[in-house]
Amino acid sequence: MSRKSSFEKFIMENMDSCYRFAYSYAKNKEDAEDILNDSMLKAWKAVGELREEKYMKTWFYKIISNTAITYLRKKGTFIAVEDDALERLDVHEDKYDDSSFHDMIKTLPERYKEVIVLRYFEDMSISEVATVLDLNENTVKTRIHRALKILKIDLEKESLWTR
Amino acid sequence: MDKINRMKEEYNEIKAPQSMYKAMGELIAKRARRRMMINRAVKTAAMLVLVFAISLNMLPDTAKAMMDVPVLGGIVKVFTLGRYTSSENGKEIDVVTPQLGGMIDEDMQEELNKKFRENAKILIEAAENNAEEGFRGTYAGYEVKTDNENILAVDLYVESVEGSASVTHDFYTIDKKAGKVIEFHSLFRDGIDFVTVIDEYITAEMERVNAENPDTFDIGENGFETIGNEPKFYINEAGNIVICFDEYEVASGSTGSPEFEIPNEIVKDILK
Repeated sequence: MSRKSSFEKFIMENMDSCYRFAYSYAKNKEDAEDILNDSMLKAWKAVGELREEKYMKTWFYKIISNTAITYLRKKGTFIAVEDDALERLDVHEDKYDDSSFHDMIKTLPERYKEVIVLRYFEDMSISEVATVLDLNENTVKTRIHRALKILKIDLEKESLWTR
Repeated sequence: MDKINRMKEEYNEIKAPQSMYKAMGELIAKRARRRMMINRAVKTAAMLVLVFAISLNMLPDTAKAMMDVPVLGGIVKVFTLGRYTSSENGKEIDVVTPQLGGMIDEDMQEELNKKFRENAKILIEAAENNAEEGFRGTYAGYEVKTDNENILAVDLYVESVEGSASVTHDFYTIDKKAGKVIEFHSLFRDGIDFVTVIDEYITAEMERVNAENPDTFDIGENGFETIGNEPKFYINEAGNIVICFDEYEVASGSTGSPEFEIPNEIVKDILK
């Protein structure tokens, strides 16, 4: 099977997940559709360069992530937050107590949100998350740790540090 | 962890809208159409080379050969009876129904035309009633493969795009002078094992191609085993038998719908 047909198959089978991931950046239907559309077109044109098929998912998610950030920057709705800025973030005690997914994607800064989505909702391993986001694994772990802290979620250390 | 699981449930409730499947479906359809065009272009180019080579070889006899060609070409024709198109809710349908005319055997002609009409009707109904989610495209039509004084060969194809694209074909080769559809076995001398001869040729061809481009064709189980007694075929302009396979039948989708022209020297001893 050619790379293009594999990609087409991958998309048709995983459209919902890809859309969800785009949605977690976009926070609304219209932008999510635009982002995913852009990403599919880019990927479809470039998929011949993908060296191994087993990296299809991380490769395509990386494209979605990059496309989303560029898209949101253009719209002026992407706000980058430095890692050490968490300490300065004004996180109210009860703010996330009953938080839903939709609250979470609206309130959690981008770089914390994406690690949570990939690690816990998409069930990616730490190393896969690192590949998608172009980060080293330690940074991913640190961000997950901080994100969970903001969300007031206590995980046993092991479930975070293994895999 | 409950909180994460709750969020995950909400996350999983988000579903991609139809428009996303449609966008991808259009890309797939575009590629399928382009592939068909490339296949066609390659074949035409090959045919031009062939014709050129033949006319060089036959130069002294060309004039004589021309005299043998009847002024009046075959009157057996294929034309478009009707076309049905619709596009809504991620469902795209474009079905062209062909009709044959001018055959001597009018009963056979009517039988075929009825079959074409019925097939088109079934196809349209199935496409209209397809309630699957995602983009669904149905494209059917016909292509004249050969049209000379002896032969009219038509390829009736159906391309469906749903998840991925696939094309199936039905070929009709009509002997204009006899005015009827040629059945495969009738090309060969009675009692001759034409299946094995052609199987061996196609297997060898597939192996030759595979040696250059590994894994182009699947041979054996789940791939090509035998053409059987009634393979899909037509007769090309050169008068050679062309054995055809549907997409995915003996190769991956990127190979399209493979065709094998059987050289005359392979079958000349067993032809009628």
